Amino acid sequence: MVFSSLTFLLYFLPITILGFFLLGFSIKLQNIWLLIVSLIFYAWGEPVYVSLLIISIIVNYIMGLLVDRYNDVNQKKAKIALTIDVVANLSILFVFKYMDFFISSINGAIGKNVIPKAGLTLPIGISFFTFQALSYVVDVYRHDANVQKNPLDLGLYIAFFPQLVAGPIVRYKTIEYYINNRRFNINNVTEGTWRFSIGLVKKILLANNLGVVVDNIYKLTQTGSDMYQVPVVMAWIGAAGYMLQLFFDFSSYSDMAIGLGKIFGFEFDENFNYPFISKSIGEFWRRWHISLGTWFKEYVYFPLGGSRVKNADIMVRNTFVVWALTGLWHGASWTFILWGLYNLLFLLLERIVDFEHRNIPAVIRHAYVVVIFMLGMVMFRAQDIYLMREYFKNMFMANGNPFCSDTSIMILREYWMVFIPAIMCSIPIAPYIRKKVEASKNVPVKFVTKTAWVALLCLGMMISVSSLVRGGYNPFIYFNF
Amino acid sequence: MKLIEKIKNIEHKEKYVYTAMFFAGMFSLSILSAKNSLPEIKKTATVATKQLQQKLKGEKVTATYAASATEDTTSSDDTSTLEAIVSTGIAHVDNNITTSVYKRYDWIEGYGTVNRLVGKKEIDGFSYALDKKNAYNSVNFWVTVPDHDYRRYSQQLLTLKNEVGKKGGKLIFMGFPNKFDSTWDSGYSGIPYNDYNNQMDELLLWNRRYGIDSIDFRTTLKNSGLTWKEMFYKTDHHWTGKAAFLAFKDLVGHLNDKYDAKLDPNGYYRNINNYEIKWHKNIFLGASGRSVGVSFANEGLEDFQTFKPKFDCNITWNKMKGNYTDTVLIPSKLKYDNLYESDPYGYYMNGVCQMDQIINHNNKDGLKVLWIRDSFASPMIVDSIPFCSQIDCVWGKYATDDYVKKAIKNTDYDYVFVAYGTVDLLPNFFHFYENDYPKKD
Repeated sequence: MVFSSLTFLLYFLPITILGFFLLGFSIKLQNIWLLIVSLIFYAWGEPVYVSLLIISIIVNYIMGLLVDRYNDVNQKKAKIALTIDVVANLSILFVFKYMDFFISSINGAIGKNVIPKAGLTLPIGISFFTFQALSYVVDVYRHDANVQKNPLDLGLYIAFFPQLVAGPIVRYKTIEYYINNRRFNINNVTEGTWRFSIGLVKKILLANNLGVVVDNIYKLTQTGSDMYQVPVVMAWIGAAGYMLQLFFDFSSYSDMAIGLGKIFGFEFDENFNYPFISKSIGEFWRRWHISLGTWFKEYVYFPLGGSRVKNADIMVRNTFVVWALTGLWHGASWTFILWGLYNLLFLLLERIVDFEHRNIPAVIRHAYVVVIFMLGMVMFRAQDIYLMREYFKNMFMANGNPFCSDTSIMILREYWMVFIPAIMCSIPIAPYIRKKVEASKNVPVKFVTKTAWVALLCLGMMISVSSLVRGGYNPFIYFNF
Repeated sequence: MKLIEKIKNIEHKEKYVYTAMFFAGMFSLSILSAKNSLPEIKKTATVATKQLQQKLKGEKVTATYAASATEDTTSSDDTSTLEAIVSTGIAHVDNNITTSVYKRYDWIEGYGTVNRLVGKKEIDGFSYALDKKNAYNSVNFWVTVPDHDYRRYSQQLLTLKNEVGKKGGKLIFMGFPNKFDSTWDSGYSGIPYNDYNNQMDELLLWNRRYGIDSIDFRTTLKNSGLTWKEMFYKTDHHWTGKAAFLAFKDLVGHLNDKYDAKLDPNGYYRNINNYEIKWHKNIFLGASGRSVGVSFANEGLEDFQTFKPKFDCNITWNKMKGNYTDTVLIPSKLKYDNLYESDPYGYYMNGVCQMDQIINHNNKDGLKVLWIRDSFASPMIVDSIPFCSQIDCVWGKYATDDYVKKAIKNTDYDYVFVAYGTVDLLPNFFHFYENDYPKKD
C-alpha cells in the first residue's frame, strides 16, 4: 500500500485514526492497534513477505534481550549475540537483495551461467526496516538505548507504517519515549496533517508528473541512437527532471511519514533540509536523506575510526567503505556502486582542496553542486552501464544526435507548470515567506497570506485526489530500496 | 480561560482550519464512497476466497473476476500460486476502491478542467492529446521508433494466403485509416500523435513484395470528398458508419474487378440511398472521451451517426436471430444511464467481440468469409451480410495460430480478410503462423 492511493486515504487512514483515538484511554492498546494496522499496511503490498518482517521483529527482539542480559556481565556472549544479530539482518538483506547480483557478476566473470539465480523478488522496504532493526540491537549493546522487553512495542518501532517502507530510518532512542509516553496534543495533529498534506501534494503533482517525462526520455534512450535520436536538450531535461523527481518522490514520502508520525504522537527527525541550496557536495549529503547518512556515520564510519585517524589513508579507506556501501544500499547494480564512488570522488576532492572554506562565489558553488548531483543521478537512474553510457553520450552530443527537437520544446511547453513549481519548492522560498509573515505585525497581510496557504493546500489536495481517481502514473522510487 | 482567549492564543490557526477541513473531507468521501465500494469489495473477496479454497484443495482454479465475452481476457489473472491469488485479489480491491469513489466522474472531469486551464494539450502522461481541431488523439512516444518487423507480418500473411489458397480461397489484407493523418489533421508541434501511417505504408510495401492482395482504405477516404467530421469523431478513434460504407463499396468493387466475384450486379447494396443515415444529437462520448472526460476539450458531447440498411435481413448472430436491429445493429447502445459507461459505437456488432458468427438464412449459397479484424471492421461486416451465407469473425488478438489453422481446416472460406487499423499492426495481432512463415527474401 502507498500513501498516495485511494485505498490508503479513504479507508486505511480514516480507520486507523478512528481506532487510534477511540483507544485514547490506553497507550498500550493504541500501540497494539498501530502494530496491527502496520502489519496490515505491509501485508497489503507483500502478503508473503510480511512473515519476513515478523521474523525480523522476533529475531531482533530476542537478540536485543540477549545482548542486554550479557552486556557488562559477560561481554563475550553479548558480542556473540550482537554478531549473530548483525549476520542475521545482513543475511536477510543479502539473500533478497544482493544474491542474484553477485551470482550474475560471478557468472559474468566466468563467462557462463555456472550458478543459477535464485530469482527472489525484493520485499518492499527491506533496506529500511533491516537497518532500523539492526540499529536497535547495536544501540542496546552500546548502552545508547534501553532494551525493549515488550515484543509488541519493539514490533511497533520496527514496523510502524509511516516510516516502514521508505524511512526516515529512525533510531530506537528517538522513538522510545513516544512509545510509552505520548500525550494527546491537538497541535501535533494539526502540524502532522499539514505536513502530510504538503507531502501528498508534492508527490502527486510534482514527482509523478516529472516521472512521466523522465521515464519516456529514459525509455527512448534505452532503444539506442540508431532507433531514436534523443536530442541534447531532451537528455538534459530528463536529467534535471529525474533529479527533481527523486527529490520530491523521496522528500514528500518523508514529509508524509513525519506528518503521520506526528498525528499519532511520534516525533521523527527531519530527513531532508533543502539540499539544493548546498554549497558543496559534502554539505549536500548532510542535507539529503539525513537518516541514512547518519546511520552509516554512526554504524560504519565511526566504528572504523571516522576521520579522527592518524593516517589520512585510513580516513580515505573509511570514506570509501561508507560510499561503496551507500551505493550498494540503493541497489544491487554496478551503476549504484559507481554512483557511490562518484560521490566519494568529489567528497575527497573537496576535502583535499578544503573546498568549503574557499572563497568561491555562492552562485558558482550552487551551480557546481546541482550539476555534479544531476550527473550522478544519471548513473543512479540508469539500470545498467549501457543505458548510463548512452545517456551521457546524448547529453554531450556524442551520439550524432541533434541539439534540440520539436518534442524537446513540447515537453517544456507542456510541463513548465510542473518544472517551475518544482524548482521553487526545492529551495526554501516557502519557509522564508512564512517567517516574514509570522514576524509581520500587519494583521490583514497575515490573514490574507495564511488564508492563501490554506486555499492553495486545499486546491492542491483536490487536484491530487482527482489525479488518484483518474488512476494515473503513481510510482514510488524508493520502494525499490 | 475563555474559549475566545484560547483561540486567540493558538498559533498557526490556519493549520487548525485546514485540519478540520481535511478530516471532514476525508471521512465524508470515505463514507460516501463506501456505499459503492463495499459491495464490489465483497464480490472480490468472494472470488478470491473461492480461488484460495480451490487452490488449497488442489483443484483447478475456475473462479474468475472476468465479466463478459467482450472483455479483454488476454491478461487473465495469475492463479498459479497462493501468493498470486492473494496479490491479485488485493489488486482488484484497490481497483474497486478507485472505480467506486463517490462522484468519480466529477473528479475525472475536474482533473480534465485543471489540465485545460493550465493550457495543456496532452493529458494522463502522454496517453491522449488534443490536436488543433480539439479532437482527442492517442499519443505514443514510440510512434517514430521502428520496433516491429512488418516484413515478418507480411510473410505470415503469405503463409495464410497459401493455406487459404489450397482450398480455393482468397486472402485480402485491408488497412483502415488512421484518425490522425497529415492529409486532414494538424497537431501541436512535438506531440507524438498516433500517426502510424508510415508503419502501414511499410506493411503494404512488403505485401506488394510478397504478392498479398491489399486494399488501402486511407486512399478511399482521401478521395471521398467527405469532410473530417463526416469521417471521424472527435472523442473516439473510430470512423463513422458512412466512411465504413465507402470502404465497403471499394471492397465490393475490388472483389468484382480482381476476382470476378459478380457481387451486387445492380449496385443495390452499394447505393447509399438504400441506407438510413441518422445523426443522433449530443449523445456520443467516444472511447478517448470516456477515459479523459468531456472537460479537457470543453466541446461537449458529439453527434453519433448510425448507418442502417433500409432493407431487411434474416440472420443469426451469436444466438440472436432476426433482422438487423434484432441482431448485429444494437439500438439500445444509443441509450444509457451513465455517459462514462456508454458505448454507442457498440451499435455495430457490440464494437468487437472475441469471436462472432453470422449465418445469413436468406443467402444459403452466399460467400463464406473469415474476418480477422479489429473494431473498425464492424460496420463493414454488417454492410457485407447480403453477399454472404456465413461470416466468421475473430478479433485479431484472439486469432491464435491454433484458431486460424482450425478455422481454415473446418471451413472452405471463399475469402479471408485480414482487416486492421494502423494502430493494430502489433505482434499480438499477428499470432497466426508466427513460427512457420516462409522466410523469403
